[in-house]
Amino acid sequence: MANETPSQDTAKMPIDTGGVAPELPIEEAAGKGRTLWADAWRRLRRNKLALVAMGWIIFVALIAITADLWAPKLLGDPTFIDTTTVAQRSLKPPSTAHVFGTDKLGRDILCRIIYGARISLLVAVLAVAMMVILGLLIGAVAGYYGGWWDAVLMRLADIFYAFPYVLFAIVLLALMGPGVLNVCITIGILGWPSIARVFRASVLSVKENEYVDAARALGASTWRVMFRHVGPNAIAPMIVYATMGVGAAILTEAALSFLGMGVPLGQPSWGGMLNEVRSYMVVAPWMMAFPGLAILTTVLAFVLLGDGLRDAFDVRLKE
Amino acid sequence: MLMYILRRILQMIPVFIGVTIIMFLVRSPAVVPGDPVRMLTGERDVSPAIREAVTKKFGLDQPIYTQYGKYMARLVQGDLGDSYQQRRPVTTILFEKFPNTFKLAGTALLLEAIFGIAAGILSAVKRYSFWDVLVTLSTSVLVSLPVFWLGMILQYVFGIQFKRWGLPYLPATGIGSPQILYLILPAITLASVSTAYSARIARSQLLEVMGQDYMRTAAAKGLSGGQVIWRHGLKNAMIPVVTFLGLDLGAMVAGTILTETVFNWPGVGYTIYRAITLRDWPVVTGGVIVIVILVMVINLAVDISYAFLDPRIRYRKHAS
Repeated sequence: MANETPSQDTAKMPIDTGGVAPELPIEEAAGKGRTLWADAWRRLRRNKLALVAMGWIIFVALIAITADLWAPKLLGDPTFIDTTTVAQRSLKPPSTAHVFGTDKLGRDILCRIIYGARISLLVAVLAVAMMVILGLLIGAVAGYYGGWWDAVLMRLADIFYAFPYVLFAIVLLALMGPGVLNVCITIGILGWPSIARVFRASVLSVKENEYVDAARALGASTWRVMFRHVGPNAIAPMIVYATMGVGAAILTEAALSFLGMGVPLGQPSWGGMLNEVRSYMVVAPWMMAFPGLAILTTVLAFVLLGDGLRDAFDVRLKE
Repeated sequence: MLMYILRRILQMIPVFIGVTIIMFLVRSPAVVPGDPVRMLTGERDVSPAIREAVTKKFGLDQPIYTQYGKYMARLVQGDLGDSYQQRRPVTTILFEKFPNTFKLAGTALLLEAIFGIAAGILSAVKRYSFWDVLVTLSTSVLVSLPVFWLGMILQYVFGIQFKRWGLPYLPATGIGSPQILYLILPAITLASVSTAYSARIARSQLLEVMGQDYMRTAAAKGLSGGQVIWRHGLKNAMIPVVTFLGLDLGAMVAGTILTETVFNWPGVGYTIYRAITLRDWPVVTGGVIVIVILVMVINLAVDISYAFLDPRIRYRKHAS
């Protein structure tokens, strides 16, 4: 089992935040003392693909945050249905008036995608936050206390791993009912084991160090040891995991909403828009194309940025 | 070796119990909000006499651990209960649907193995070339692609547009004869993400092997580049790839729900999805439990064969 080789993930990381990564050329390394962050940023800047991905994420996030200021004026209301003109406005192909076309109820698809970005990003970020918090807590307890705690918590992680992911998410949501918060909770509950394992491994590898003994001898509490000594060592893999996790969460949310169990259909979401397409695929392919492209480009951006960050922080993750 | 297998089987037991407890709670009226009797009678108002009869019959008046014990007793005898909707045993329904899911997952696995490994070898052998960049980028795109959207695009292009253009087209939904035609699009859809992962693993494994000393030795003794890779490289690089493929079969059987729903493919995933929308809990919980058991057994079989193939694993597991 994977949890028997604890130090794999952290072994290659620069341990001390003031240290210099070993594989930098001598002349670079000889410069002024740099932090982990400056080092990572230097390396990330050389990765054009990761920078483009970061640009796209910032762009989508800005659009999502500021949508209320300009989108209704330019594109109309994403949910309002004008019943008097719906017949003339429904299922129109892309044109100058509606760049991405309109849906069955005559609503502008671009506008719905913009508002969908809000839901998708919000759900993904909340879900990952939940996943990371749960994972850190459980990983910390398992790694630090070891023994019985470790055995029980890691078996629990195994149980969660054994679940077919999408299937189990659907069952949970069928019980809780659709809803933004419920989707976040579901993704968070199902996603914590991988975070917990990584953090547990970090705890195990740091715990044996003499400076931890020293800190404890000086009377530091468990939580202080965790935050001051283990935390900084684990932060790089956590950032990489979280970045990739956001991409994965967007995909999961889209899949759940597509099945009609995620975000309620009243709120525009990318997956929900694809759910509505199914009856109009033949006559209105634009309804299918654009929400899908929105998901693909955004998830791809998180995947590429995650790859870039992994290389920049020099974190070893398992495939 | 025997100890290793035994230990792995013992490790499965808590997982199995955990899954059954959760699935039991899922269908247990004690956890699901709402009136259990109404749920069992199809959300209808019932007279007090019927209410009492239903409560007795389903043992709702007993404490929850007794209910779980009875549920487990039936479960280990292969009784998953009856479908509320179809009034037939869940096992019968699942037996009808599993062959379709296996066909789909098997075909997808075949596609994944062929294209994933080929792409991985290509990009490792021609490292940093145009092909390597192409494969690396396409794998990133494939893992970012919503599976159901890919399925819909394939349906639209090969099912609808090709028909409009008068080209030979493929059936877009359901199952009919000849089955192979109906199988193509869903199998490609199901294989997409896994193909990307197997290509990545094949690439990184082959690159690692190519850096080994014995590869240089093989080249030094005069084998051609192709022979070195074919005879010495692939054999060593493929063990993890084959393991991944084996584990992926389990993941595919479990992950068919989206693909089957998009294509209305009459497999277990689609059946479970339909059962969820109809609140037919015995089918849902039964289907999930059977899939989880299946995934565990497949994974165990893969791990054991892996240990047979590669003695290093066997000894390491023993030592720990």
